[in-house]
Amino acid sequence: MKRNLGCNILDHMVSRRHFLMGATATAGFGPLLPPRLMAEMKRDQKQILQVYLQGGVSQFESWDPKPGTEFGGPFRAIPTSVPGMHISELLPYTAEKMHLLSIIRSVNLKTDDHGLGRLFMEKGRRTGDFPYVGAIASKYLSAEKNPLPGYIHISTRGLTDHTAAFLEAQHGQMKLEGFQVPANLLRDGQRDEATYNRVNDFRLQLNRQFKLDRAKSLIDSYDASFEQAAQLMERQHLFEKQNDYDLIRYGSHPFGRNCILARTLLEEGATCVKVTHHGYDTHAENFNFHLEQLEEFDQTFATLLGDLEDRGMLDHTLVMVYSEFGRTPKINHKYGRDHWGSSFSLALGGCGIQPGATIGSTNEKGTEVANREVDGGHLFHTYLRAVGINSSDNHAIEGKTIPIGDPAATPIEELLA
Amino acid sequence: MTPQETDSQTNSDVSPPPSTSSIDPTKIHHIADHKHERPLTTCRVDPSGKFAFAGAEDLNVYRWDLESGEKTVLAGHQSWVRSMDFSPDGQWLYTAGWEGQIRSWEVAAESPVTLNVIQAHRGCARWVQSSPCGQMLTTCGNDKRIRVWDAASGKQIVELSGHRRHPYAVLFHPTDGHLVSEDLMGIIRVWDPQQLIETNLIDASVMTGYDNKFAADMGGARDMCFSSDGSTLACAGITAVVNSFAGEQDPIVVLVDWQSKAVTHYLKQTERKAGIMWGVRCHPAGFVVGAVALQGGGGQLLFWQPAASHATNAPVNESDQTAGDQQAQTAPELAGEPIELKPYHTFALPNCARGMDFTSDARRVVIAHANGNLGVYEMAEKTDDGAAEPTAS
Repeated sequence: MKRNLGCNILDHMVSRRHFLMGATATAGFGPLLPPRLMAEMKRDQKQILQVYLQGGVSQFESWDPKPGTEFGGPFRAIPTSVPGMHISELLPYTAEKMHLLSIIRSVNLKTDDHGLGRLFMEKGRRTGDFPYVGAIASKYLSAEKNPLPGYIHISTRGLTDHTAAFLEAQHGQMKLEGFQVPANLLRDGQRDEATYNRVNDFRLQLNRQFKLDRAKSLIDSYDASFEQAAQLMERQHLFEKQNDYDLIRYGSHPFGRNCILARTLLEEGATCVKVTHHGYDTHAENFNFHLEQLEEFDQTFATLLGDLEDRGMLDHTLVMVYSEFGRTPKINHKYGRDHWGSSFSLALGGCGIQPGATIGSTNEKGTEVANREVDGGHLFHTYLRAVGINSSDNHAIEGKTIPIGDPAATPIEELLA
Repeated sequence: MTPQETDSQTNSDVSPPPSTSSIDPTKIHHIADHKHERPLTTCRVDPSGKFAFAGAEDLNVYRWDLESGEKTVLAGHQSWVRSMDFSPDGQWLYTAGWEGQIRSWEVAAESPVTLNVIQAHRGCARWVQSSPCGQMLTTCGNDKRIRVWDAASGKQIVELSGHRRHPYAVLFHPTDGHLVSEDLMGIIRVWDPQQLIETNLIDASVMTGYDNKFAADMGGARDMCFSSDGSTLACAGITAVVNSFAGEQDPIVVLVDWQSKAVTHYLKQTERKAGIMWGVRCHPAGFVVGAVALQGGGGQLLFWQPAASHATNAPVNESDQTAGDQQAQTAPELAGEPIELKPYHTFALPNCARGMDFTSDARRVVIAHANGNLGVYEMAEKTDDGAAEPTAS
C-alpha cells in the first residue's frame, strides 16, 4: 500500500510501522458502515472504473483493426454484439459485451511520449499541475462518510505521479500493489486495545505540536493518509481469499485477481478504482505480446463488465479502457510497433455514456484521424460530464478559481447519454 | 485435399543426398536478391530446388523461380503465413497462417490456387509439416493443440493436448514416427501419435524469459529441424531476456540428442548482439546454420560444428578441413551440462532474417528478409564466371 503524498518529508519523520500502529488504535476493528447508509451511498454515488493498459495498447490489435491493409498486421476483425461494429479477433469475449461500451477511434494527443501521453489522458491538459480524473472523482463524487479512499489504484508496479495536484491530499491515489493484503494492514497482535489507544493519543499530541509551525497542507497530507489507512484496515475482509468461482471466471493471474478486487471495492463504495494491466509497450514482438496480454485482458475484463452489468452497477459506474497512446501503423523489423499518439482508440461505457457507439474514425491505413478528432482535453470533459461533474465549472482553492476542465476543450456531446 | 503418392512411390522420388564437396561456409557470399515491396515472414525452397516460396506481410505467398527470377503470387490466406512445407515428392506446398488455416497448393502450377483449406486451429496456426511419407500433416496453433491430418482428405486423425502455453512449432521425426513440439516456455514435448501419449518432456526453458518490467513471457521455437539422420533436433529462438519488449535478448540454437532426449548444446554468437534466431538448418555435411534478426536491424548467419566442438571448441575456418571432415570427429558427451558453443564463422547479413532454407543441393542458403528481399547466398568460393555478382529480379 503506497500513497503518493506529493511530499516526502513526512515519510522520514514518522516511520510507517508506527504510523499504522497508531492508525489501528483509532480505527479498531469496528463494524462496517451501517447497511442503510451504505445502500444510500451506493444509490447516489457515481463511480469510475479505470482499466489502464500501460505502455500503449495497439489500436490495430484492439479497437480499430485494419485487416488486409498495409499496416494491418496478422489479426482479423470480428463482429461484436453491436451490428456493424468490428474489433480485433484478440478480444472475442469483449466483442460479446460491446453493446455496453462505445469506441472512440479518433484520439490525437500529438505526443508519442509515455509520460506526456499519460498525463494528458489523466489530467485533460498537456502541461501543468492538475488533478487526475480519479482525484477529481474522489473530491466531487465521494460521499462524506464514504469509508474507503476515494481513488484507489491497483497495480503490480508503479508510477508515482502527483495525482491530487492542488486538491486535498486525501484525493490522491491510494496505491495497492496487487490483490495481496497491504503490508502492515493487520494490527500487531501483541498489543491490546488500550495500548493502541495510548499510542494514538500520543500520535495526536505530536500532531498538534507538529502543526504549530508547519504548513497546513503537510499536516493534512499526513492526517488524510492516516485516516485512509485506518479506513482500509477496517476492511481487511476485502483482501481475504478470493473464491474459486470468481478465480475461474476472471482468471487466477494477477490481473484477474486485481479485477476481482476492483469489483469488490466498487461494490463496497469506492469512488474511483483504477486497475493497471502492464505490458503493452511492444517495440518488438508486438503480435505475440498482444496475443498474450490481450488474451489475459479479454476474458477478465469481459467478466468484470458483465458482473457490473448484472449487479446494476453500470448505471452509476463509468468504465474507461485506455492507454497513454497507441502504436505505430508501421511494423518495424522486430515485428514491433512503436509509440503513436496521432491516431488511436479507447473504449468507454457505463454511467453517462451512450452504449454501442463508434465515435470518429481513422483513414484506411490507420495513419491519421479521418474525422471527429479529439484529444485528452475532450476526453477529460467527457469522463467528468458522464458522471455528473460540470467540467466547465471551477475548482475553488484557497480563494482562487481554477477551471476543472481545459476551457479550450469541450465534451464529446454525441457520446454522452 | 491434394492427391498423394504412396509411401513407396514417394520414397523412390527422394533425391540422393547432395554432394557436399566444395561446400565451405567460410566462403559464403551473396549471389542474388529477389525483391518484394513488403517484408517477408518466412521462406522455403521446394525439393526440386527450382522455386523459393516466401510469405509476406501483405498476406500473400510468393514464388520465385530461382533461375529466372520470375515471381508468382499465391493469394488466399487471410493473414500472414508463418510456416510452410512441401510434400516429400515436391508436388504440393502446405502453408500455415495466423488465421488458423492450412492451405495446399500445387508447387509448379503456372498460377497456383488454393486446392484445399483446413481450418486447423482456433487462433494462429503456427506450423505445418508434411510427414516423411507424405500422407499426413502435423500442425500446431494457439488453441494449444497439436494435430495430425490426413493430407489427402484434410480430415483430422489425431489431436494431442498438453502444452499449457502456445506451441510454436511441431515436427515429425524423420524415421521413428514420433512428433516433437516446443512451446512459448521452451517446453519440448515428444509424442507418440499412434498411442496418443506424450513420451518425453525436454526442458529447453533456456529458450524463454519472463520480462519482469512488462510482466510477460517471451520465448519458444522460431524454427526447428532434424538432422538428416534424425539424430539431432535443433531449435532456434531466444535466451537471456533483458527487455524483450525492446527486443533485448540473445539469439540461440538448442541442440537435443534424439536418442537420449538430452539437451547437448547451446549454440550462441561469438559476441553477444541482441536479436532472435529465426532460422536453423542442419547441413548434410554436419554443420549447423542459424539465421538471426538483430535488434538493430541487420542480420547474421552463424555456422557451428557441434561434433568438433567438444574436443577443441576451436574455429575451423582457417584449416583445410571441409565441413564433412569435421563431422567425423568425436561426438560430445551427453551427460552433464550442455556445451555452449561459439560459431566458427559469422556472416553479416544486410537485413534481418525471418526465415531460412537450403537449396536442394545444400550449396545455397535462401533468406527471407524483413526488408522484403529474398536473399540467396552461396556457401562456396566465388567463381570467376560472374556468379558471385548479385542479381536482382
